[in-house]
Amino acid sequence: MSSFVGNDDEMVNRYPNDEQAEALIRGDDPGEPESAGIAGLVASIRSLGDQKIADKVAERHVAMVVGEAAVSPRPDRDPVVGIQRPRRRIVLSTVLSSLLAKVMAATVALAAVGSGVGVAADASVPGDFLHGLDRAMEAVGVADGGAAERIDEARGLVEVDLPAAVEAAAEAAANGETEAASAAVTALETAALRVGDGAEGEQSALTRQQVAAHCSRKSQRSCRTRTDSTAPRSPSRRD
Amino acid sequence: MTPFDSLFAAAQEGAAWAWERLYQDLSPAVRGYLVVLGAKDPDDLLGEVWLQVARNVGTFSGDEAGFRSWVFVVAHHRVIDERRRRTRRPEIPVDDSAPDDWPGTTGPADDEALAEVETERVVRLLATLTAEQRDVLTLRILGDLTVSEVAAAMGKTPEAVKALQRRGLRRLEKMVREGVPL
Repeated sequence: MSSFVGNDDEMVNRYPNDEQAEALIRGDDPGEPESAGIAGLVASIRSLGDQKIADKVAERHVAMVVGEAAVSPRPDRDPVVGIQRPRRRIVLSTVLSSLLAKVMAATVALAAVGSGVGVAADASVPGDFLHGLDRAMEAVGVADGGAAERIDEARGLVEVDLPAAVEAAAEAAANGETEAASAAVTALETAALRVGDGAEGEQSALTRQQVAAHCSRKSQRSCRTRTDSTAPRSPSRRD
Repeated sequence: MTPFDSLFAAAQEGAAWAWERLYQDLSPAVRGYLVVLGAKDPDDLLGEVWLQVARNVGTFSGDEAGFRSWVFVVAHHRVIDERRRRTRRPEIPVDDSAPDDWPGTTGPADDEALAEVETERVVRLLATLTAEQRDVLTLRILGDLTVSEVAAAMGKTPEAVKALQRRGLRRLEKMVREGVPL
């Protein structure tokens, strides 16, 4: 039996040790003199989870949740779920789609001019912003076969998650290791920032934030391995 | 198939009754967790947590304990997001008027008033901990998460979580034993 003295962070073998801490958290009575007060406090903390939710609040929340669940993607009925794209990103890209479409178009032009790489027309129609994107991607893809995979991914993402498409294109550039690819990505980021600065209000701030986050991730070379902090995970084995 | 499996499958299909059951089962504890961690508007934040759960419900697989853990991890991340938004404010408001500002609780009956006083005391005590100690203890006590689950949620090792847990409990034990006025 030991008493509490001095700096608790520096002392060992004092109450509670790991075993006693687990007992307290489980709600068991460790049966020691020191445990009386803290066990009561733990019980009080736990009791905070028993407070009733107001009926009106509960009804409003359930209605919102049911509506949201009805449109949420599911693996068995919507293959797009398989790529685990957070919905908030899709919402964000929807809000910014018009603005970012202009960014992409401007980027294509900058990339083509800046790199001097020839571009090839693809299935998309000239005038369509995808056409411009195709041209930029092909310019990068020509330089390196490995980058083509990322480019295809970017193509698939463009319509559902434009910022992710930008990231995929950036990774293609990183893998391609060509001046042309680097120039394309640099131009992309520069154009995005310019357009973002030119916009007003929250949209501008949002754009800059998005681009800054993208650039940060790119610099960390983790574009393709990132995970969303709120994405679900399968339950781990209980201790 | 367990009863939870059936319930969750119905929720995935968008059944209102299933979502109501899930909400009623978990929301009091989640709200308590949000209150303890100083959420400015725990009811609004609770709604955000459930919306996030609904958005990602198609990607979850696991049992009832895993679902509970997942919901609390979502809540934990929401709290962190709110902390970031409130960087210029204290993490835990200890204003005497705080209990009166908490919406969502039921009427002003005497027992509820007493519960609010106790809630305030608990919040004040927990406010003396570091944010990480508080996170660990509340996720374990209110969320019923295991050490491993808390470690995963906080990006720490299980050993680090145990250390935070020990230190947090020691500090609380000292506060309670010495009757430190709050």
